[in-house]
Amino acid sequence: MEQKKYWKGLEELHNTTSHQETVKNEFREDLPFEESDSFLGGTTPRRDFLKYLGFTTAAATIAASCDIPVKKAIPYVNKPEDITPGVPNYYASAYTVDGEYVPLVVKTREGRPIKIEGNDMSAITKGSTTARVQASVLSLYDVARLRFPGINQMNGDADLAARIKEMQYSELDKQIAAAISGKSVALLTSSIVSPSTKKLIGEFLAKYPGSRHVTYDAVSYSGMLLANEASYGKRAIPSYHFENAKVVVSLGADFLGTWLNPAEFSVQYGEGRKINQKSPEMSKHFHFESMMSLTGANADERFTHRPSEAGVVAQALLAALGGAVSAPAIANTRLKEGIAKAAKAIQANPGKSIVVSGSNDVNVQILVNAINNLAGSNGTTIDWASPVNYKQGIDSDMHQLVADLNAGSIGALIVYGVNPAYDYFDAAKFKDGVKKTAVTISFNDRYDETTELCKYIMPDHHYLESWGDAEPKSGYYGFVQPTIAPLFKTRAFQDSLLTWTGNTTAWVDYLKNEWITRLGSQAAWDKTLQDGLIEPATAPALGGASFVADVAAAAAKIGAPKTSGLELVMYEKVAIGNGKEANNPWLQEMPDPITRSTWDNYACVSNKLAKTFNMELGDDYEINAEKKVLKITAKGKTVELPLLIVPGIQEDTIAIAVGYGRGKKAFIGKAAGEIGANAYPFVSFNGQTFDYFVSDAKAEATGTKYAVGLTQTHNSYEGRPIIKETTLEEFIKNPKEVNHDRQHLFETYGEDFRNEGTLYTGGTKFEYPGIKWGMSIDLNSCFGCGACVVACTAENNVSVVGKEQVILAHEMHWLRIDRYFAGDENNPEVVFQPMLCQHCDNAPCENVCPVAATNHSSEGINQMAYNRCIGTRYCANNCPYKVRRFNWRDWNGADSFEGNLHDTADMNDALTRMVLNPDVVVRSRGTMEKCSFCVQRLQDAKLAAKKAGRPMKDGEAKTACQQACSSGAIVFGNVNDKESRIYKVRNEEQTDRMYYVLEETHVLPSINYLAKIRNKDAAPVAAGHDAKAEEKAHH
Amino acid sequence: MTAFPALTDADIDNILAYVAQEESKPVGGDKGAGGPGTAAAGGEKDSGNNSLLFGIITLILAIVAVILMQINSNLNKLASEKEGHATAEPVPFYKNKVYIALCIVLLFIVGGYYTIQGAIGLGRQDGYMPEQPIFYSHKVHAGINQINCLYCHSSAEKSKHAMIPSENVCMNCHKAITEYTGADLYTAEGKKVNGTAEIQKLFDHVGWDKDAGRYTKPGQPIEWKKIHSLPDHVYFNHSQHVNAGKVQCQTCHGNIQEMDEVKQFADLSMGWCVNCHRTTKVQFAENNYYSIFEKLHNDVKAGKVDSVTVEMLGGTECQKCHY
Repeated sequence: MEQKKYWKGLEELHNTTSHQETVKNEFREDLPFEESDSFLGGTTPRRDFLKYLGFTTAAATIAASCDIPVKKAIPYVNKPEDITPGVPNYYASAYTVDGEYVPLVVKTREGRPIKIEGNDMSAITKGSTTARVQASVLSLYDVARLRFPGINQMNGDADLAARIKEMQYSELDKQIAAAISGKSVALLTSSIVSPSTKKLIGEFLAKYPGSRHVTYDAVSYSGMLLANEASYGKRAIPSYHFENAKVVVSLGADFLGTWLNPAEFSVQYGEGRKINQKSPEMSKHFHFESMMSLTGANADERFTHRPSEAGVVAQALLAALGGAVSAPAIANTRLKEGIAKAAKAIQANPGKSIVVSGSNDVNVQILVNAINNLAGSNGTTIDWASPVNYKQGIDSDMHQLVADLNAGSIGALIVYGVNPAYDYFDAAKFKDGVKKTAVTISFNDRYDETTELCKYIMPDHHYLESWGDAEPKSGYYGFVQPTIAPLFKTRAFQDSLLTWTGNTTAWVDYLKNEWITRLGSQAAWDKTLQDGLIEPATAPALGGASFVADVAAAAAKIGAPKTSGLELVMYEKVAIGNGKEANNPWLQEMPDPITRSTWDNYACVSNKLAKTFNMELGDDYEINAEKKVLKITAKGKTVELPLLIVPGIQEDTIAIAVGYGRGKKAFIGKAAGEIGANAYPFVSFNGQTFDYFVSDAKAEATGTKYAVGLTQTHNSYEGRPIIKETTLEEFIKNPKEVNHDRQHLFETYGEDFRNEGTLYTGGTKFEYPGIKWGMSIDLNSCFGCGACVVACTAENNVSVVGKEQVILAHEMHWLRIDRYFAGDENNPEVVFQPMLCQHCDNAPCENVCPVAATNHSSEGINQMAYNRCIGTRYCANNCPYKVRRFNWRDWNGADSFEGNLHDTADMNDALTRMVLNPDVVVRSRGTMEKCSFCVQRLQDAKLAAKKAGRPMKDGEAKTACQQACSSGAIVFGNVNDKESRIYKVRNEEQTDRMYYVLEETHVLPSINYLAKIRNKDAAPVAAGHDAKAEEKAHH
Repeated sequence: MTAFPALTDADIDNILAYVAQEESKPVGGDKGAGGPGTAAAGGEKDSGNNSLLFGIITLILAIVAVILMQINSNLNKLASEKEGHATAEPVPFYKNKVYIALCIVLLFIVGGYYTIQGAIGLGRQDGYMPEQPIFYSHKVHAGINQINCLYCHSSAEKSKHAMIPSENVCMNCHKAITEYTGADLYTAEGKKVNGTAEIQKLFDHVGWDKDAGRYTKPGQPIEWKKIHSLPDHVYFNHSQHVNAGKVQCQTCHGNIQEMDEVKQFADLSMGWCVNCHRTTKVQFAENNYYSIFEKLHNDVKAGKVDSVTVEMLGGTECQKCHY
């Protein structure tokens, strides 16, 4: 079989001269001195260098002769019984931001939460997390959080300190109680999954007649809620069970990245993507969308359509399945065939398919419901017995509220966890309405766009400081408990409501009373808090529903798609989401799974569209960070954004991420403030729901340029074959074929070639007498979501470098997820490959280190001793996997010279530094670093076993990336243990797909990969082709 | 001179006789006069004196060499004058390039040696014995009163930190023990310490009124001076050593039960750590954790190795302590 060509970007595909240049000069980095013709006349001549050299030598001598400073050791006065300094405590809690529900276990050290893991006890998420959940621990220490309550002085241009007059809660409560007394109150929140909070809201509103609670989701699912009401009589969203589906059809729903609750769906979807070598089987995933989403990138078959065509695609699919609608005309033959194919697959698997749609249009969702109904999905892959509460916002309610605010009919507006002044499509109107309202109260955590307009500022706790409960699905409960005492003078939203209701109970007691009544005893409550959840012991039977909607009427209301002109589509980035948690440097620096860019939003366009803007792809397009800026106009609104070519996006579509274009850095935070442009104004209200696309957009090049922090051209493999993949059909026919080149190695060098030809003494294999660590990564169940990248960052104190340094390829991520395209540049296939230190047994980095700072351990770890490293960077140059990271700057204040510090996002504030893992060294400038296999966790697991006097159990030592992975793509363990999962994967379960990257170089990596398998028709060339014959022809 | 009125004349005579007898014996004791054995024994004992001797001899030889060189050059000069050759003006001693070069080399070697020794010693503070806010005597507690180390430093078994006990642990006993009645205590400088007053300092910190027998003020932590400090790039875990390794506290901290004031016993240098890892035997047979090291177990059984040290299990590898 011919090796497929993989490319990170078009420049690599076309192998342009600039690409060749970049690859050639990858490690070249000129000194940051200005060059000058005259030797001593330059700005930094040699004399200066000698001066500095002399000064530093003298300074170091003087510094060294100083006394060693006296350090203090201050014990507790009364040591809390459950805290032992140096030993972490774990508390169960839950992430419930904007209705997204992920049960957690929070690791705290000396009372500080430092790491978040999923709660394995949950049947919903099975211990999985997302990048955003992993990063949320950093938001706790966000320096931009409001630190005290007060009254907004509404004084124009003043800085933050002068804008809020600090007040005591008692005084504020008095003032607010007087102000809202007898008024109609509008409580504006995002989706709330807490039943106790909802009960409390009910009690509060009852006290103020004429009041109402409006739920507003910035990225709304109203279309689904209303369609389900019309179809099944329930304004609810059902539970989805992707694991039961043989056929997954997504009409633009990014369920692995952003849709509803990706942590839950990734686990389910992952189950269907794992391959059992003995009876290979996997789900088949069709994806129809306009932009390139994470989920689309993972699809087996992916088809694009115009954003305005979404309804037509759903209707066509329904018609193809025999629904009572007419088949609409679809001009694009590829799309048409795709729909037919998907329909055929659904029909072939009755009751074993699932169709989901990311549309927020009621009629489209009714058609999708009709499809699922016809396909028999209700009760098999779609569960109506336990509907989910993730999203509850109804767009027309919000629309009405804004109208009422403007009409002056709302007495008081209370804002909790939403920011419509930023993310409402008609923010200006909302702002006007707020200004017309007499009493305005904000509970938001920072001085954001909405809080700026509110009179009373009552910042709420971060969720890691809060008490709470959650009912994500009927019958399933999660609990939130504080893992740290409130850092600032914040107060729980619920405590305020209780006070204003006239209830003197504290929120924690209110919650406790509620649950002790339900559970029966304090002991049961304690147990519940310890577990962090209550779930049915056995999964309840899935429930169906009877479909009653008028499909013909819905189909009739589907608008005719546009056939010409540009269309805009607004989407959520996997890391940033709706923008609420945007001020998080870890998330900003995580490269987007598809575009591989950081710290910005941009206009994603296809290669073809880029050319129509007279934007020649040119020789160096992807090499230069500088991108031409597009001026995009639609609905009378304009934004200017840099253009980014994304292969695979529909050619008349421009996709823009929401969540950017926030306010001042001083208010929003240094990471999120004043970057990118706001795409929310392009959202429109169609009378019923918000539409997240616009037709009739115009775009023109402005002639200016803007630098985007792209990482895709970093770490090139220069075309070496590092990915292996095949199709399911091919794999069943000839399982060995995908690894045929590995077979070739065995044939040439003998079965035992891995044990021969070592770098170590006497030609014998390096010995691993006890443990030999190894990792396996399944390319088939890695979806590229980036949770592992953020988990690694949190666990290992990986530095944030900021956009300018990312452009210089100085990003520090120990683990990156490489995204490769293959095939047709307009409709490419995508592969994600997590790449981290491979801990080679014949490591090329080790033997070039002049000071032996990197060397090999008897457990197979390629060790890095930071304090020994002198920063020659030879190791990085010699690493075939390009996973070594050099500290070009002092990112962390590790060397105590203040002027050296390079901090772009407040990562060195004393507050933010509380998130650092005390078991891992903070690296200083001039040292090399890389993945350590989370050695601190391995040592800890070994020590636990040693103390207990027993051998270490498999699975006791987990790396951070492994633990964060929702689909279990990463297996890690002791290869010497024949009972371990990793041994079995390599030697028994996945022998056909198991391969090592660049094995032919004989560096003997400790990480193996499992070849990707696509459930698609084999490429026409390969079909019926005798691979062996071809092989022979080659030789 | 001290008078010894207790000694009789007879005693003094005996002493003098004994001294005279001992003086007449040959050097090296009774092992036999002279011989190679004696010389070797003396050499081993007095190697310090010998190197001084060698140093002096080297210096004398160097001076002789310099003088001879000077004479040689003078004779050469005379010889060439006699033969009528024009000679260059004599180069003064301090301008002679050979001497200058020699001096520089010498300075470089000596200076370099001391610089490196100094640099290695930077940040090391063995023998460090700061004055603590309270004169807490380990001798009184752990030595005389036999309180187990782990009673106060309870997390040494569980955590990387041994932990300085919180004040409530002190008060477990000191609620009852309000005065010091033991032997006199002295600081290192020889100042007498009032033990009862030191206990009162604890009460002041913790807010205990010993007369009323209850806490009357909120507690304040005691700001002890930290004695044993490791650099940030070192990971050290007490429980690893105390619990898994069964190492005694005194191995690293010295005879703490005899110290009134704690003094840093070891230099806590990497060489010191590594040396111990090289020689210390692990609980190889006793601890079932090590059962996975099959080959080593076989080697022990076969008598190829008699014991298993920390080093043999990778205990001197970088990432055992640096990560």
